[in-house]
Amino acid sequence: MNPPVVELCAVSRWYGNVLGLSRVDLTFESGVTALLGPNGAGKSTLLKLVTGLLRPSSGTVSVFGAAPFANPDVHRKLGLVPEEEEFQARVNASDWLEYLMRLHGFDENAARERARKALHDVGLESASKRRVTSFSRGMKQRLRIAQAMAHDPEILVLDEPLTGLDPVGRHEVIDWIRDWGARGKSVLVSSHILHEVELMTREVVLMTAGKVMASGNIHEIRRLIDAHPHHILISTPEPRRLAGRLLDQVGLHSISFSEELQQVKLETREPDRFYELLANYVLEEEGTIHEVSSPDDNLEAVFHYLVE
Amino acid sequence: MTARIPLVAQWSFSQLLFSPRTAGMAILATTPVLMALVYRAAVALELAAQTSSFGVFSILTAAVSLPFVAPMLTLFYASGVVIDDAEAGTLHYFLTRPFARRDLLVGKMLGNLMIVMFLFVPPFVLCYYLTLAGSGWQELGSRFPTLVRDLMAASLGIFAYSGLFSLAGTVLKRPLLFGLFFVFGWQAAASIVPGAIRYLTVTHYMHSLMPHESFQSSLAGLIGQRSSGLEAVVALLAIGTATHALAVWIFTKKEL
Repeated sequence: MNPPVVELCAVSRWYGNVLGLSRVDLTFESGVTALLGPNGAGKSTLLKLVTGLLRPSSGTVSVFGAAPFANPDVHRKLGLVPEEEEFQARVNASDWLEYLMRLHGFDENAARERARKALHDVGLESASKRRVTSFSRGMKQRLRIAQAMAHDPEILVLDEPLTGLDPVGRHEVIDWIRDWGARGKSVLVSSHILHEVELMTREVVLMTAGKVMASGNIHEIRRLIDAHPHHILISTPEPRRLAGRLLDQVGLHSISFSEELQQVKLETREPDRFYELLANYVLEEEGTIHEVSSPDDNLEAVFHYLVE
Repeated sequence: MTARIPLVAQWSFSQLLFSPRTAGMAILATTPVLMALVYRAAVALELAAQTSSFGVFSILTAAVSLPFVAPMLTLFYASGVVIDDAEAGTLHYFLTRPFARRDLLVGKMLGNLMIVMFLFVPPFVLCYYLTLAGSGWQELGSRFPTLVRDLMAASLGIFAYSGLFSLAGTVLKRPLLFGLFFVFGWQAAASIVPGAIRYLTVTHYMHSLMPHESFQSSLAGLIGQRSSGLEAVVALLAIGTATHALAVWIFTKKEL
């Protein structure tokens, strides 16, 4: 019998005196599984353990039956989109991907071809000769995803992959993730935004304070989430126009905007309808949106409820 | 040597070659050349005697190039062997590729050594030519073995410094501070203190190999604590090999 794709047995991880992960037992098979939890829940720690960047303080982690820490056999089958951080490769996107593919073991021609295809797949082909340092946040995030997928890994690990993407980009990435799972690959994705996770998968692991609170189907969690309004922050050069467009929408709890900060803040009880409206605003009404973010206050509230 | 080491070394070298840091380091590396040009101008204007040309080269080598330029160049590259990628956000992309961590660090250390030698050797040779050219081709030719010995001392010293600073870069959060203290604090103090403490510096062995007299080497010779050429070569090779190897071993075990 084949071992599970990923298996964590009684895994704990300490950072000095701080407990990052507490006695976690989990197994992941093929398909998309989402780690859902507020910031500091232990999602990134878990993903770093799975990708072999960290070792567990106690317990065991295995990926395809082997310990992943500094293990080339595991890394050969793995693609990682790291948490968004400073990303200042001083080269153009094409050279960067080609170098990573060479490191992966492909010869020069194969590496070039994989780099070209991956950039095409994430919509960066026209920017392939631009320096990465000149990329926007969204473009860098697409490049992160391209390097993770370029070698066609068996397991894809994505830490908050939608951060920094505009609505169209989010939609595309969600589609790629679903498609990856549908092809029989394993995808492990972290997020603190439930409705985005819901579009990717039904399989969810709920985490908070380094512990797994629940795992399984998303429906029940969703019911709890909807009892709390979703906070959404939109960066746009036309905050007044966007606020006016959203003002009379059903489910809107509150809305405010700032011309100076070029932001619209709102609370809604119907996030799905809201995101649909936002996509229409961009695609059909030619509105401009730079970024959409959702603080995890609503999720925190649900976690408090679950803990109590 | 595994296949990834030359690839990583070549990539690191090309990345460093066109970096802002190298622009700054090029200025540092050409300082002796600028000094040599000033000397040549002084000779041309008859403000300095032509006969002292080898003495000028000795001073530039023993007081500027070997004890200052070589360790500074090495420090500014070797200390960043891990931190550069960590700060640029590129380290995790390399650590999750299917090749040994050892190859990554060895490749990066080789790339650093290549850029240091690239910045150090041409200005050093140019400095030799500029200071001695006025004395004629015969002087240039007769002093050539000195140049070769200087370059050997510099290369071995850079290798030893590279190991020390790479180790610091692998272990410490602020390796640059450690390196500055080592070069300007520890070594400066240890080289003028009688006793065996000088054997715990790189500069002692470099001075032992140099054919020029310097304040430190004169003092060491005076108190009978100058190592033989063979001892110096072995010591510098041992320091460089041990520290590079230790840096690699730590890097393979380290969580990043």
